[in-house]
Amino acid sequence: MKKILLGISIVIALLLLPHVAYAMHITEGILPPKWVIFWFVLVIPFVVIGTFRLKKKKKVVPGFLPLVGLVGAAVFVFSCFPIPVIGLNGMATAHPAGTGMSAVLLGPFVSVVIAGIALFIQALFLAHGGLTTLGVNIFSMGVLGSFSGYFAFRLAQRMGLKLFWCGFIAGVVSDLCTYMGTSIGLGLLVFEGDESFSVAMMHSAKAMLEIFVVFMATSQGPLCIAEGIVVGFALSYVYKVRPSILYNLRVIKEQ
Amino acid sequence: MIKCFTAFVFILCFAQSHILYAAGLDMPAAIENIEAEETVSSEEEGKWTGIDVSIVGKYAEKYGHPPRDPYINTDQGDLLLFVFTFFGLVGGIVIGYNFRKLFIEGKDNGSSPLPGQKAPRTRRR
Repeated sequence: MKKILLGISIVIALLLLPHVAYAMHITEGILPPKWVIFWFVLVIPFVVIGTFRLKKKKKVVPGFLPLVGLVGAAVFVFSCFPIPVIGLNGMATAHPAGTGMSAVLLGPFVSVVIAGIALFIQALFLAHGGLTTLGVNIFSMGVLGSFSGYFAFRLAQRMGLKLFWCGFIAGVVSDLCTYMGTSIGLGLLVFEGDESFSVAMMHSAKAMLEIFVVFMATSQGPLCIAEGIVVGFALSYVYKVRPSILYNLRVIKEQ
Repeated sequence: MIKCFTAFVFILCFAQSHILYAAGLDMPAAIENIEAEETVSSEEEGKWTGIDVSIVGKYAEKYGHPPRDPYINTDQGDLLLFVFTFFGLVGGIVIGYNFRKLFIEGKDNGSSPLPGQKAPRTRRR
């Protein structure tokens, strides 16, 4: 067992060796001040509720913290892990989000907090994302990624799909919605105050759609499928090894 | 086990720093008035560019809001390499530690990491 653990540790360490991450995060300086404030105001309630939920679950569920540590570190690593993907734009790198998995396991609000912490560290030290764009990045990866993944999982469960496929759908939808959030953040840059609201919204919507199609048509399309497979396998593994974790977190009902 | 892993990390960091140092020694000194040319062909061709550069950056510039350097700019020389290595290792250790706590120790001991779980029955010999 020790040898296996050592082997896993070495593989993890080698996998996490130096990579320069380039991905979906909106970079520092792109957003004008009005949008910086808007996105921060939008995500603050989610982060506050998530923090309270985390504290509550920590008291009610003593073993919750190791799971938060595991999933939180996984989200951090996933979201700055550039995976080479060959898309229509040739050879490029993109990263998964990981918030679909965290939302299914820990709940969407706690997942927002985890995404916020991961994005804050990346913005501060890894030159990845930005402090002024933290709000919009939390919105896309944290809020949209988590809630879409969570509801997609629940919907797939109601449809009676197997756990792997529920996780797969959660991963795919979460990734798609994360990039949709990035497209919204970028698309709103063309929102001009001089125009009437409907015209400005039309221009923004057109820009959002264009960016989202470009995202999906290039590298992100294949990557969201890969993320779905990873989430599906992760949930299947937990169910196989420690199903009680899923029962106690009410991810699945005890049979 | 954690001791083994810590030792491995230290050896890795130690070896890596020496490799970087050795690579630095081999580099020829810069010649004045001659600009260094890009030697990596992949960078010339723009391969493996991140989509934040090729898509996010492109659209941000198109809409008149080009990106700028971060407040704490670690993208200088090998500094970015260092912070990615450091945080990657820290992330790996946290994942490994909690994975072991949840899936290895709990399973072997029959103890529950979460409340409400029944401990498996053990046969008396």
